Amino acid sequence: MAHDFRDAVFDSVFQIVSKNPRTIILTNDMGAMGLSQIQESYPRQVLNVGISEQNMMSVAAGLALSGYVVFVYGIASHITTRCYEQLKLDVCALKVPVILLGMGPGLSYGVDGPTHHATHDCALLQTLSGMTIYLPADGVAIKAMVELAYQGGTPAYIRIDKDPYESVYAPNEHDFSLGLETIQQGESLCVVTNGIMLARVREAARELLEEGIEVAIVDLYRMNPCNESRLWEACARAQAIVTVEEHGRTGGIGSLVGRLLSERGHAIPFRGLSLGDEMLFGSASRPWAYGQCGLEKESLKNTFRQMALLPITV
Amino acid sequence: MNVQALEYKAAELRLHILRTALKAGKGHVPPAFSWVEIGVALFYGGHLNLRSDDPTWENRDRFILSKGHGCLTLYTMLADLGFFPKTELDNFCGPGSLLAGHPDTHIPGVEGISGSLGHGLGVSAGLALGAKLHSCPWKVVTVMGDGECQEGSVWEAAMFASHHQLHNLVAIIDRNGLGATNYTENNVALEPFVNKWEAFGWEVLSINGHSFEELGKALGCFRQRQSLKPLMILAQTMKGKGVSFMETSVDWHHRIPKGEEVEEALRQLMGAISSSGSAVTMEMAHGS
Repeated sequence: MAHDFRDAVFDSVFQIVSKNPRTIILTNDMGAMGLSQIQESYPRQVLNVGISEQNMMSVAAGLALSGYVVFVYGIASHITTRCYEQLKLDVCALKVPVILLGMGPGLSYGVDGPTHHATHDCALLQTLSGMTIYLPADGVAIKAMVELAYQGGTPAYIRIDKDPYESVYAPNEHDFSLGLETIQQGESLCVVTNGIMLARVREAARELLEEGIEVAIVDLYRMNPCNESRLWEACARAQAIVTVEEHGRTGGIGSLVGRLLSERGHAIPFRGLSLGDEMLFGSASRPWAYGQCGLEKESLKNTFRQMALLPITV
Repeated sequence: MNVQALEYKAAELRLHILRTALKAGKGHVPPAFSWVEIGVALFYGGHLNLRSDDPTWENRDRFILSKGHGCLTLYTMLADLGFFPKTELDNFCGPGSLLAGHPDTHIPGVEGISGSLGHGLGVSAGLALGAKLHSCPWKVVTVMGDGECQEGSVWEAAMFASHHQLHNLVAIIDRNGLGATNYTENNVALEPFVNKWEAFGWEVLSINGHSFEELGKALGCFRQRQSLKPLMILAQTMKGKGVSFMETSVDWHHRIPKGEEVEEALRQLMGAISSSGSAVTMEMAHGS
């Protein structure tokens, strides 16, 4: 059954706002049903600052310095790139509790054109000192990440997909402070993925099982800081590794896993599947863009199959 | 402090600022000089509630220097007031020094990072909103540059502050008329500046930013203001004030004096101290 990420995130934020009057949500004129419900119950704790992302981040920092925990809700591409310097200097350098709720990451808003594509958001934000980056795959994960970000008291970014999600985790099943989870074991290949791509990878892996190909799947739901020792533990015994992400080629989990393997001198077959680094002009719907970049199910299966059957060349 | 004591302090600080920059061979001296009286009025004139022995005291007023390149004035004041040892000034811009060419929050008494312009007013507005929502007694004061107002983020913050009636926010613009390489009116004109701020919903006071009488009058009222508008003090100043060949010159943004310029600058600044100091001595002699 499919669920809405926004409902999950605002259910969690509602709980926090109801308990802590020094919590406030800022938005750059972006709406959501869950946000309206919070506003109805706690009107002093929701503030539409207008279409002014730079000022929104500076104000968020100021509010945080005055004792607030601040959630900032807006379209992912707009609240990351438009105000990057404010995030760097006012939020991250001051290490204040400002939690970005980035609506519509990757190509969630693909058909709306390149202004709305958030395909390098993680690349940019991971260079900011102290910015924790979460890429939840379902509602259980997002609830835990909102709570972790709130308790953390430092800057965080949570990607909130616009498309519905399928449940991956049972409530209270997993400790999300660990940074990643091997959600299924497999001997043939290890796939590292996260966010909305996790469901697609699982579906491809299910079908490959009928061919006798066992795919291990790692949900790397916290990109920054990456739990490298746990990631290494998950990858070390794999015969081949593929990363799958709805993000640009540069600065995503492909870069991260590739660097990890390189630094550890682990010479095994590796392949990074992602969107390209080129800007996608026109209406880049997910099915169309996935077809272009080898991210649709059959392409995923082909790549997984190919990598699983490669001879080890160490 | 009375006006003569403030004038003496301003003259003394200018000399410290120049000596600090000369020792480092770096620093923005003229942009520091233009807001010396503003800084002295705030920090020594009793207009900011701060504790040098407890810089993060909960009920302190929040001061943000948005024009970070003018930090030498802030550094010398904070050192003089005991926020950190004066010896730190000797290592300004040195390897691993506490004091870089633009301020950051590792420095006791510094509330925000600045240097890239257009940040201070927005952060100050957030602080002021937080204080207002919870009826905190403290005020927020920010000093901005005039060239900085060519940043769009300044006007986003200006709209925000008036919309939310942040009457606990005071912004002071050091209107020295110059950017880094040219007069603001030659780059992108700011005038009519008063009208712009008024149109954005601020109460605006236009004063002489080197006059302690006018600064005292403008700052003296801000805690008892009835207006719901944020307060803008447009302080007309002179970049490089105190050293004749630097004053209002497009050549002096971050240039450091050399050779005879050093001797002449020091002579003028020491002369100012001497005249201010004499006045204080005479005043003391008369028992007031």
